[in-house]
Amino acid sequence: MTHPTDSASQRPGSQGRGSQGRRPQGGDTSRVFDVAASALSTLLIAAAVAFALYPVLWVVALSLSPAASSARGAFPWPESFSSDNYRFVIGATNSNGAPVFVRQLFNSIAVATATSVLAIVIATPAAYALSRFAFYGRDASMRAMLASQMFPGIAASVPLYLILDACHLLDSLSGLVIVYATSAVPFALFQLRAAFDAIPRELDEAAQMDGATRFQAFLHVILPSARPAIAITALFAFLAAWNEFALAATFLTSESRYTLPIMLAGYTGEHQSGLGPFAAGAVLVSMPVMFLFYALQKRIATGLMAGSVKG
Amino acid sequence: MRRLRAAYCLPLLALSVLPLAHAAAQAEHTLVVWHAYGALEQQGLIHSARAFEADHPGVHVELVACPFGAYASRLQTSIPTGHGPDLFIDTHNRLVTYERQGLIAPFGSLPASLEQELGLPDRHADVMRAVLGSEHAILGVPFSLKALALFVRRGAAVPVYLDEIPNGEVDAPSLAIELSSSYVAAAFFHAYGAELWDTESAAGTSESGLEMHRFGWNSDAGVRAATHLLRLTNAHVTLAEMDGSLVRNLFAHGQSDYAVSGPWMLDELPAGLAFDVHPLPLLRETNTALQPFVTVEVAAIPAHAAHADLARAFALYLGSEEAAVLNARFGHIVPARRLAWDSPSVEEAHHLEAFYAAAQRGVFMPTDPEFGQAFGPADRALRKILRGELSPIAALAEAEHRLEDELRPLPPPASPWSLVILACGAAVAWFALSSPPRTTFAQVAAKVSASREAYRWVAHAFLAVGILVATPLVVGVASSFFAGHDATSRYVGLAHYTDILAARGRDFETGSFYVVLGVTLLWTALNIAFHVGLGVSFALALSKLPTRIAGIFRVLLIVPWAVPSYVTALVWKAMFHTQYGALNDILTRLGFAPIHVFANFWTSLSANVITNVWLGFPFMLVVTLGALATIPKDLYEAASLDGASPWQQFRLITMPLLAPSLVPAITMGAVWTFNMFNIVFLVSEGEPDGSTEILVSEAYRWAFTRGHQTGYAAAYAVLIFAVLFALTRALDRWVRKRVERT
Repeated sequence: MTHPTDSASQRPGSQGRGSQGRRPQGGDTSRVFDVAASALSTLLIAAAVAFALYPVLWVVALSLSPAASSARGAFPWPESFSSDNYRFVIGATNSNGAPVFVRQLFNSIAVATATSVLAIVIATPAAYALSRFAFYGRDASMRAMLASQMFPGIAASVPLYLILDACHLLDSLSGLVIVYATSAVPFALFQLRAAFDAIPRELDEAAQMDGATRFQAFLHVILPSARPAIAITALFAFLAAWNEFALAATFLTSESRYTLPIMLAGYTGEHQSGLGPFAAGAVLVSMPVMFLFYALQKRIATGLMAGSVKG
Repeated sequence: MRRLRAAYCLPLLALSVLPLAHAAAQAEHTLVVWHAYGALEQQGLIHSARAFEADHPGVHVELVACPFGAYASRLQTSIPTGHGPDLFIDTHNRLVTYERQGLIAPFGSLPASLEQELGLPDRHADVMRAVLGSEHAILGVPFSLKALALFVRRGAAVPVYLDEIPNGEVDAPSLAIELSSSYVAAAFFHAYGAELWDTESAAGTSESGLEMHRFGWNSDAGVRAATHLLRLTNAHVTLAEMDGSLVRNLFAHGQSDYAVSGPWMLDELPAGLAFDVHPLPLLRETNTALQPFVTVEVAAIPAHAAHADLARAFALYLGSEEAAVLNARFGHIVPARRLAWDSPSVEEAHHLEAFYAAAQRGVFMPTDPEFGQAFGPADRALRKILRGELSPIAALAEAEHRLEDELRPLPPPASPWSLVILACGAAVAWFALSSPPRTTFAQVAAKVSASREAYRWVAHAFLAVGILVATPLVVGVASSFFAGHDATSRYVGLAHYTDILAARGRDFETGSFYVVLGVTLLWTALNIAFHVGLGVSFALALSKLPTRIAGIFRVLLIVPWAVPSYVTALVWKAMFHTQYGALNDILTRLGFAPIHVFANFWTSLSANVITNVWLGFPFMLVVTLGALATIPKDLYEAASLDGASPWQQFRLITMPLLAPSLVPAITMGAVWTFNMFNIVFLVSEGEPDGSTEILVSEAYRWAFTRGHQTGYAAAYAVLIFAVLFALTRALDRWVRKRVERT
């Protein structure tokens, strides 16, 4: 079934809100569809945003409430406003009277950034090989990677502790980064391999024809084409490291090396709930992530592949 | 490859510089003290530390605040490897457990003066000696007490008897008390003469096989106490569904004039609130006082401490009158010493004295390491009683049954040969049953050498994952063949597995392996369906919006992923509260009856699923956005030129091209969801009656709250692994067959 391509199909009228001019047949039905689709999308997104933000509004309300408040009723609004929780979190000091929030924020940023960089550095060449070479043991190793995610890490902290101890990497951010990065590798491999699979081999071959080594082709041709997937994988590794508590709290024993989740967990004791400072801390902790995602989202969502590949 | 190596080394180099950046200022001797106190309590310790430093020139006391959630695991990993502190603070009941694990250095003797005036009535003297010196070795210096007391709003009458507190309203109870916590409810049971842990019968007959009644609540006295609790909630004196923060809020906001809580609540109440604290009132029925559990905070020296002498000196200082006054004044730490109360500056912190008086009437927390396991079954029984699901008699009998079940006697030692024989048998069977090898060794060698280039690309990744991800798994598998702790540790072969798979004789009851497996599969399927459904549809909807707006919405939609899940999970839980939650607020405004969300399996599971769907959909959304970006736009143009309907475009272009990215994300997501324990822990807490537990949360309970039976928990973990492995393999084969057929 073919239709004559007429330039009229590109007329601006069809580029209504959200239609992106993809519908060449003029007809009323399609315009009705476009309007309906975009209205439906807007409604769906509005509902989604409400669903996503409602509990977060509670967190914000709790963080701005004076001590002894909790989420009650249907409207996330503090009974009275107070900046006590924020002042408490930001002004926290260690036993020597030195402020700790900035230090811990710095630790968290360093750990999460290094984790995502290291995970990507480890995973990209391996994922490329898994995509491009048919080597002995390839499928088995992918299965092993998936299997590594299946065993619950109940007792993982003790063996990891001993390994880090043997490497003299206890109570150091580097040790934590190595543990985080390797645990992010299996997912990164799957995600990146899928992305590399979607990039036609002709691209590597063309680059190699032009005299590039395979590694140069990988670095200069394939990696840039896989940017959306790399961004997602990096974000994933970043967030996993950013929010991890149990291992960090076991491995890091100097307060100057604490990451933010350890600080947050410190507000809840055996009996205390400490929800107010926790909420304020959570708001502060999620800010950098939001900025990071804002910076990344265009790269993730627009991609660089559009139009350059034909299946 | 050189550039790759450079790229690999740079972040590592950068990281190795980081630790240099904070070389701490070193005093002559630094004494490292660990504690899990909050910020205010730490202020007390800081003042004591500074005073101690003034008397000991050249000594710096470094106080390290550890998060309570990781305190025990930190002590247990760091002390045996020599990375522990010089001194640490914990409660007396936990110290005895640590001592059995070899984590504590014997303290030596306490000065006679200190022992004499610990400020405890005579009837506690024996217990205290037992606490402080197990087998005549003193564990540490006791310096503070914790016990529940009655908070009374200024202006409200101070009750002598509990029944003087008036009845309340459904949503405004007069007394804020967490009766569903056995730690709190124990005060009532003690008043009626029922001990949660019957120390005498527990000590006598454990190995002889005689009938034991360690769970003292399953008695006439216990039933009377439980009935009393039920009366309180029925008369709206208090609420059945209560937790620590709600107790504090009801009291802080004046809905409840009375609250029962510990000294920790002092620091969480608003500054302007006028109230007094009194020891718990009397029960008219028994004419005895409510007797709360008492815990003693002790400063103890860990094994392998570097500065043991200095640590001993500081511990003794913490136990001194002078430090008690500083701790009380600046940290609201209730002094354990009687003499400290004579100081005028302690009287300033007058609320503290009530806790001290409350402790005089209280009952010491038993030190038996197995005692902690009684809380879980007792909590469950209390919730069932307060919800009116079971009579006190039935619920308490069930709790005893459950406790005996969870206390599991150690399986007999097994011979390691059984496992070797089993492994050999399995290997032989595998060789016999599997298809004859299609490749010879030479062929394999040829393939391997042909794959050499590829191996250079993947080696580092597999090496790293192999060491840091696989080693813990191997250790986990190995530990599933062992039972007991250090001294009693023994090889038990497959005993844990047979025990779990035989469901401890309760095949299809709540909590048996098979029922929990069913719940876990349901939980995983629901979550993944919603994660993928919402993630994909939101991503498609976003792609229909103009780019500029879409950018903002994209960021707003990943917010659930960015906010730490602990606090959002608790907010969700609060929304499901029967009296104060948003859900029931909306329902009652619309004229419906409120729902007891956690009293019913389906609503409780839904609460868990909703929370986890909320937490997890942004991940699928982001993956879908990334995958959508790789679909060339001209494919759609070509398709619509060919007259494909939007649905056809979705089915024939979008879905097939999304699949390569979505399938790994879905597979991994399913595996992660299967093993996602924290939502179950934080939201439903397994309610009702453990029915919403999933396999991994059961495993965690065995590992952490049910007597640290790590071997048993590891066996659960191995079974989880086996189930997941079999499921993913079966699914993979099924998908492949379908793909081949089409």
